[in-house]
Amino acid sequence: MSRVVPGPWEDESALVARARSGDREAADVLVRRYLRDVYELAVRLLNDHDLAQDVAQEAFISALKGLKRFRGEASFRTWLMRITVNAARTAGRSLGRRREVAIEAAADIDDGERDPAVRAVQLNEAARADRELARLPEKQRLAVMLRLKQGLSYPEVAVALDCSEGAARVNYHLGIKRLREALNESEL
Amino acid sequence: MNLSCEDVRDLVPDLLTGRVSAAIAVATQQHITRCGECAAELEVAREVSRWRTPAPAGLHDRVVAEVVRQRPVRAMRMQLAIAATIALVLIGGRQLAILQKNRVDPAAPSVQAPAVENRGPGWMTVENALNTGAASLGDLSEEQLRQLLTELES
Repeated sequence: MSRVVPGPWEDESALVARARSGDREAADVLVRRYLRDVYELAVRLLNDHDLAQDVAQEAFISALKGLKRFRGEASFRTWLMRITVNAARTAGRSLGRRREVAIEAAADIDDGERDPAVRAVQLNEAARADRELARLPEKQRLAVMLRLKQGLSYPEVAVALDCSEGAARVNYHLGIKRLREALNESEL
Repeated sequence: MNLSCEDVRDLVPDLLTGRVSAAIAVATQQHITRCGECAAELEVAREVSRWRTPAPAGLHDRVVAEVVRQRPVRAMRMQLAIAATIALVLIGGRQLAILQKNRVDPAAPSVQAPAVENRGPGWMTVENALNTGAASLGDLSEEQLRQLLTELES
């Protein structure tokens, strides 16, 4: 029995089929659905908002143009993540040294907490965790991001990062271990 | 259902996104209440997953506009390809019809109209034939009939 139930992407294949046949509305829905994931991944890889927007645009165009090559072995979303990682790495190489620029992220928390004081503490802790995430080595950072923020399974993370499932699993756990240590240290 | 620490830590992200079955969710929660290490890991994972970076305003429109801008080129190429195919089919079909016709009756006269000669005053046309008051073709002379036939064939 599978322990994991399907995610909210069941109608993705129908959308992809429509987009492949030139349906602009379907392409629009796919962009709307995955734009945040793509942009977030790019900005985390590049630490540069402008370049991340260019990479996000390039990733969508490349994915939608290349739908004929998409065989559906992975989900469109996972395939799109892989395209984004490759595009961001290419763009990053042209930048040279990785820029150490703080990413001003906005919290997107809606867990029902209405107490402003509790919410402020949550925001502060989440921001701290985010800063530590940005300091992780790239492979660990990406594995943690894709697994935790975007909810990909280990096999999907492996496809997105073009590595084995075992490597995806190890990078995720190494990243979480380092995050725990870093957060414990910063609390002291 | 008993889950090991390894099982629970593998499932933590799925637990946060609600992608585990109810039975697994209960078993994971039971494990976490008695395992401080797994509880700490769940807390770190929760903090990380909370913070999302939204896409800048306007990026969606920019991406969609670029996708649409690049599509017409492809659509135009497709339309040109279809038009060229139709033209080829039509030309090929016409050539095939001519070949078929020549094969059935190679000695058949050309489709081209024969040159009309000797046209001049008194030339018998269809209109003239109707105006001659002749009751039937038999009333026309042989020369008039020949002229009329030439007119009809042309």
